[in-house]
Amino acid sequence: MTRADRTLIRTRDLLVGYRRAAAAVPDVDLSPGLVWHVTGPNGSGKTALLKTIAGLLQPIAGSLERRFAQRSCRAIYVHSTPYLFAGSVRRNLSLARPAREHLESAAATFGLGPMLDRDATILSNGEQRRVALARAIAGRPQLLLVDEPEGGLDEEALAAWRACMVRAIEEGDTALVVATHRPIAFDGIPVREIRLLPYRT
Amino acid sequence: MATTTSVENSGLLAEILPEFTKQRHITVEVLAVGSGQALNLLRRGEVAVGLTHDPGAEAAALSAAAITGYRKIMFNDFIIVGPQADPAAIARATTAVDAFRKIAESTATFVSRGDTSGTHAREQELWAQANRRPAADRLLDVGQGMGGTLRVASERGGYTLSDRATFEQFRSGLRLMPLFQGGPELVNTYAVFTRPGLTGSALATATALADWLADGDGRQRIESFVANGQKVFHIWPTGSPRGAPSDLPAGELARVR
Amino acid sequence: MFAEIGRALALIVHRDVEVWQITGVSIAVSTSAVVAAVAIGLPLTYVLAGSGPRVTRVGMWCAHSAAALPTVVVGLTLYFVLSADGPLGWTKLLYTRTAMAVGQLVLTLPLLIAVVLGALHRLPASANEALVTHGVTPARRMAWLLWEVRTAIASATFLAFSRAFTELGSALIVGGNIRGATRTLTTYIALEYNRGDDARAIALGLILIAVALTANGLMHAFMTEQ
Repeated sequence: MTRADRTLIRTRDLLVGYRRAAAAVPDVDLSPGLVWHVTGPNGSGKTALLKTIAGLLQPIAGSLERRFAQRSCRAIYVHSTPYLFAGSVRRNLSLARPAREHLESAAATFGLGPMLDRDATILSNGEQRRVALARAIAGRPQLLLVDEPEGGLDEEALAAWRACMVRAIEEGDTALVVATHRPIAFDGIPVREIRLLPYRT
Repeated sequence: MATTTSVENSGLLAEILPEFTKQRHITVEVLAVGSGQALNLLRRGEVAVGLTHDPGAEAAALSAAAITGYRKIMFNDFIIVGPQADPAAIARATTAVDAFRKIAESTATFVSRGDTSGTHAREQELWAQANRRPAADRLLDVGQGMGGTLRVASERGGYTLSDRATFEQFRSGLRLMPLFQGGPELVNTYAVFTRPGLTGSALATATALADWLADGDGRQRIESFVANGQKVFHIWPTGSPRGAPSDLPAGELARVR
Repeated sequence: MFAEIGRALALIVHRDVEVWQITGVSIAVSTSAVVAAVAIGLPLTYVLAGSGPRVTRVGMWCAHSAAALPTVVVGLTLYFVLSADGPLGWTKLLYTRTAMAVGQLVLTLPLLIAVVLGALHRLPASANEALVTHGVTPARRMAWLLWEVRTAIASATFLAFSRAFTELGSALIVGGNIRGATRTLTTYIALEYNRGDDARAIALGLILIAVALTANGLMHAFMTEQ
């Protein structure tokens, strides 16, 4: 089975967003092993597309087909301003009920080891973003949808985030969809663009 | 003026006092509380005239010279009401004391006013004469007026002692009926009196009201007062002694059966 | 009057039987009412909050209106429902502590809903979305979100207890002030103050104030912590 046959998401004539402000999505067959870069100016519906794929939003028109493997966790969406719950970092990381080793490896990837018992709600923006990313990765989703992941991350965290993603993608486990208007580059991983257009009704 | 809730509930004063005001140009403010509290109010100087139906408390007040001008003015009776099933079979009792004894010895509930009213005082006298009381969990002390006490008795299917006027007034909403009535123990006498030590216009107005009720036009109006098609109070028969709390209306006891 | 206050304090300190029995009834009735209000109110509020903005708005409006119901109106309505001629007369609940607790439940549930619904509504959408996307089951989502608004819940609970504990109208009408059974701090004071037993009435009043101040203090502490 080639990589292409492991299409996770297939869209046709998809319109996402809200009735008054919709975005047209070019037909795409999302498969793992790549970084999918959703791009477009601010307000062009990048968040809407990610949320629609994640199932948090209904498409306005068109079709969105999901073909996930049965057992494992399917798709996790990470907000651009993630919400951390009251309690420790460890409590937040356990949101998707990960096995202990997955939680600990996700924490290690983002350098959260020493912070596990700290109150998550009083961390800095960058630290909170790292927790949110680790929280999602700990859930081992087949598809990770990240909204504006790089804001607030310092050099070290940025490098850690990219390295982690590269590992996850190369191991064939995860498809990564990133929404950002900035250019992105992951070491050795091809990037495919999904450019959104506003749809005038 | 302080009076008891049973008088107030009957509506008597609401009907006859405006006549008094029209005739004598004196307005009367009425405070309706239990007999014991009415005597308290008089003693504390908050009212000038009292109208109560608790001979025991009245006797104590008289001997302490806390009241003056004591005259019985009217009477009616208490009745023992209860559920139609009459579990204690008091309808077959010979006297009120016997009825109370039957209640105490049965498994029935008795609802007591538990306040300082004349009705409660009479109830306590009857328990004392019967030399028995119901067990603690069957004697419900509600600390309320007659209306509230009747309601609780109705809901709980228990017995209670009520003045006839109030019972008739609430009757349609209750699942109770009169089961025992009559006899001197259940005669309910009302007396009027004033506060000693009044002077000037306060004395004049207080005496005017008391006299009007005891000997004046008030008598006629009390006699003709009707509520729900029933006569509520009988006026004190002329010539019958009325100056002592223990006085009973001569020759009228047959009337209350 | 000061002599009476002194006597009242003595009654409390020496654990006068009737004073503590009456206090016990008040505490038992109000506590069970609030526990029931929380048990019913939290899931109900969660469902309301999750049913969209319009349902939330209507829910808030209903809760605020119901929270303003006069206690005597609730008492009177419950009286007619539970009386022998009423639709629930067969339960024979009138003049029992259960009826009083039900009345207080009706009085406090809207308060609880109004406060907690407001707090849940103020959570950002990303909170619930994070839960959903991480695969948290509906039951656990409720637990996570209610934990997020736990100070509002605590504050509302103490507010509810304060209202239940100090109310008179419902307890009086559906309770009947039966000594040893349905006589509470408030009904005793309302009906017995003129019996001449001022010391006991004052003692109960002091206890009432103490409990009310404590409950309100705790409510305030949680409210400002939010």
